[in-house]
Amino acid sequence: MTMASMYFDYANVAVFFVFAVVFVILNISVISVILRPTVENDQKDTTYECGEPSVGSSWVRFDMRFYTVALVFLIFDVEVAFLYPWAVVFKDLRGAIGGSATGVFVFLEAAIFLLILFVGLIYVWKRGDLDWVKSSSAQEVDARQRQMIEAKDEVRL
Amino acid sequence: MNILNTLSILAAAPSEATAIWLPVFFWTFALVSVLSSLAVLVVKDIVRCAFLIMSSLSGLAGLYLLLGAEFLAFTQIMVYVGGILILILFGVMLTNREPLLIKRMKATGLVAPGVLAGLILFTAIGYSVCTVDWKVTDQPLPADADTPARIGNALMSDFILPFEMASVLLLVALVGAAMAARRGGAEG
Repeated sequence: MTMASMYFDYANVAVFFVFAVVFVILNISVISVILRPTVENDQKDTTYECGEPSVGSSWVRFDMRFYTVALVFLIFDVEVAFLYPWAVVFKDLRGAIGGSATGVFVFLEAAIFLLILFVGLIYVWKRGDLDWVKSSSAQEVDARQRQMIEAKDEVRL
Repeated sequence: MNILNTLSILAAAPSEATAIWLPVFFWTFALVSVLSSLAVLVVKDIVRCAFLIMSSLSGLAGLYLLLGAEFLAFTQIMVYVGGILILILFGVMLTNREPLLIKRMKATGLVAPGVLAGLILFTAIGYSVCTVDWKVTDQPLPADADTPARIGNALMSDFILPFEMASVLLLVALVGAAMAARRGGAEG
């Protein structure tokens, strides 16, 4: 693939991009202005929250769990970056000797790669970092710890 | 002078259509990148800063694409725009204790050292850019310049062990990140 043909491939992407931008601008600022009736109303300026009146500010502090999930996501994002060149050549390598040893080898390489990271996923899962609602066993542990701390405080008093 | 050479070669592409459009795309991506980076410094609202970083990183990805570094461009979009930026946004949301996130300079004594450090960094990078003997060529890229496929072939032949080691490294990073986040959560 020469430089020129590569650029030509990306001309397709550029066309998609231009269409996407024009589509949004045309719909929001041109067509809707022409078609919609203009009824001024204070409530039209409020934030849309599934039809409910919005409560409080949107600047709430996020739960720490979001950050943990984002960190885990980032790791698997980098994993995808590694698998992308593999996926590009997999078909060629598999077809090279008619799906023989090379294909199996290349497939196993990626399988091992995924398996090692799967251990990490199991670790995070088992520790409950992915639990959105704390599991009942974790809540029991928390409750027991709280009781122990309270008991200590009573002894001190 | 070397940089100017590179730019002129970038403009002098094989076919005529690319010769016309390449400088247009180059300057668009370059301006998007540089202007949004500058805006990050000026804009006070941190969330807007994060979104400006997104446009700056995307512009860089476009520049990589123009240079024929497809893998680098997609990794840039996937990891930086798609991953690290999300992390930055979550970080901003986590540290939020005020109704509006506004940058403030509390320690004004840091202005002079900051300017100094910036100047040193700028001089160092500028010096190395201008003095390094960049291997400039006016030859078009070879026919097999398909970087993702070349990287894939290399990973599956000569660099299998580094490929698997990268997985182990990611595993260590995952466990470490989970530990660090957990400890922070217990305190907060």
